[in-house]
Amino acid sequence: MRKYLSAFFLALIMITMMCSITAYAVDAKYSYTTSATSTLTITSGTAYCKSTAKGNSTVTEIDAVQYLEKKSGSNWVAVSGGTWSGSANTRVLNMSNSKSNLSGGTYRLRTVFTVYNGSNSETVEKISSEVMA
Amino acid sequence: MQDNIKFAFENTVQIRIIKNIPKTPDHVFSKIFTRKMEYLLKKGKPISNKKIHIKKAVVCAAAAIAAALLMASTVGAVRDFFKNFFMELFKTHTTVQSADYSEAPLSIENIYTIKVPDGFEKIYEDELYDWSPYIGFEYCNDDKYLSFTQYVKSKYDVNVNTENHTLKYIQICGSDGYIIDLGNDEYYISWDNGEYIFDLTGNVGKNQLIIIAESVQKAE
Amino acid sequence: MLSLYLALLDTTEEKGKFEQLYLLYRQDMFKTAYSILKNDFEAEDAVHEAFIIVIKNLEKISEIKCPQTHAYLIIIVKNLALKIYNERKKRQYDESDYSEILDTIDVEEEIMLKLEQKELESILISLPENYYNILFLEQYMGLSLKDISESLGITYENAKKRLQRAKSKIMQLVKEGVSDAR
Repeated sequence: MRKYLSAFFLALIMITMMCSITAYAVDAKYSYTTSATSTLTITSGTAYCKSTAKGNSTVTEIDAVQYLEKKSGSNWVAVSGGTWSGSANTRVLNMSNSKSNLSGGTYRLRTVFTVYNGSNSETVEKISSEVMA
Repeated sequence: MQDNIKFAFENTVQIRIIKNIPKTPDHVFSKIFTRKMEYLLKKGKPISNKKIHIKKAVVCAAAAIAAALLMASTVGAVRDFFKNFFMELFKTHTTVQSADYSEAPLSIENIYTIKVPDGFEKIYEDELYDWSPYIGFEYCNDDKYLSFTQYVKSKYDVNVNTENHTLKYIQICGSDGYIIDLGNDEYYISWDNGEYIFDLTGNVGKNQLIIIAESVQKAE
Repeated sequence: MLSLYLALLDTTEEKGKFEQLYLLYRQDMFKTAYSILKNDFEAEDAVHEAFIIVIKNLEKISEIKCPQTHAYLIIIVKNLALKIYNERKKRQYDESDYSEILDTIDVEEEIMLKLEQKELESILISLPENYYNILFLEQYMGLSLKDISESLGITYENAKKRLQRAKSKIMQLVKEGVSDAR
């Protein structure tokens, strides 16, 4: 009987672990950043890179750098001419840039936002999903 | 068999054996006994111990699976709250994507707008292109702001601030969504109307923000 | 331990017979086993084991609702209960508990046959329970030694010995003229 009980509980624990939806990663702070997006669309060999960050009412400025990156092996390499910076003196930053004549491969858009609250700032990074050119 | 032996036994069996049977109240037989006897009655031979152990193992395994499924379904029920969204929780933020965009438009085919309260002015609107994954609007009224964005579901991929805040379920016009209390009367709401995902954030308080969210409709 | 046997209840007739026996006698069998073992589960075990023996000897039971059949089932379960009891107490089932072995010349049978019914009855009433039971199985039920050993849950050798002693006892009682006392 005890054998069966322990097998039962083991199964239970395993299923619970599989259903776990919590993950932990090394994160930046999100004190006054409300949301961040980094979206990549590729059509006919042209990459359209759109990034947006929204801060709360205390945010005074947002800077951002967009990196269009191409997959090389297991690494991501910045595409030449595929890095852009932007800035806004308000709580919302919108950036849209494009790069054409892309060679075939897998790409992503990595955007690094610096969100300012007066003299304080925090860094938030958002990476798009991978897109094939 | 000799008759006299036969009769002798017949005449003595009562006094020697039957009389000595205890006259106690009838016994209620246990389930195990009844099951073993039923097997014996049916099959004409006793159930083997191996079979009993196999049966026990099967019953326990079935119970374990049932319980696990129940657990999974209850965990699933928590996720069902946000069944339109695929969420990944981190310490400071949550990554949210659309869970099912198979039926949704692949681009912004119709623009939706909100009805802003009096005093609010539109200060920004995204350009709309074929490839636009979303279109955003900004409104402000003195120190009050409203940010509204309409997303193509397949392109909805947002990091939202959940550092000291929790995602809560909310319904906007019958659509499933979630709301985050950012403090200082600032809230973030996101919902899926089946076609597109919207998000709305502002520092107008919860009730006001919900009213504005529910005013969303296709632009003329 | 139950070794191979071919007792599959083929006919529905037999199934009905066994079922009737079960329903009719299970309570008395349990009560008998319980009186020895004083334990519900052990007593139930004894009853279950007894019915396994019954299945094997089903054809030897002619009438369902008769005292002799009743007695047969009681004898089986009682012996099984005693067996369990002895095993529990880790007692060796010692045949020498019983009376000494007398002459092995098989004259007992002849003498038994010559006895009057009334005499026999007196003797049967005076016999120790064990001997009465084993004689009942051999003489009334007509079981072979092998069947007897199975019914009582004892070895073939022990069954043989006990039967021998039972008959010797009858001889002894006849010689002592017990029948005269009635």
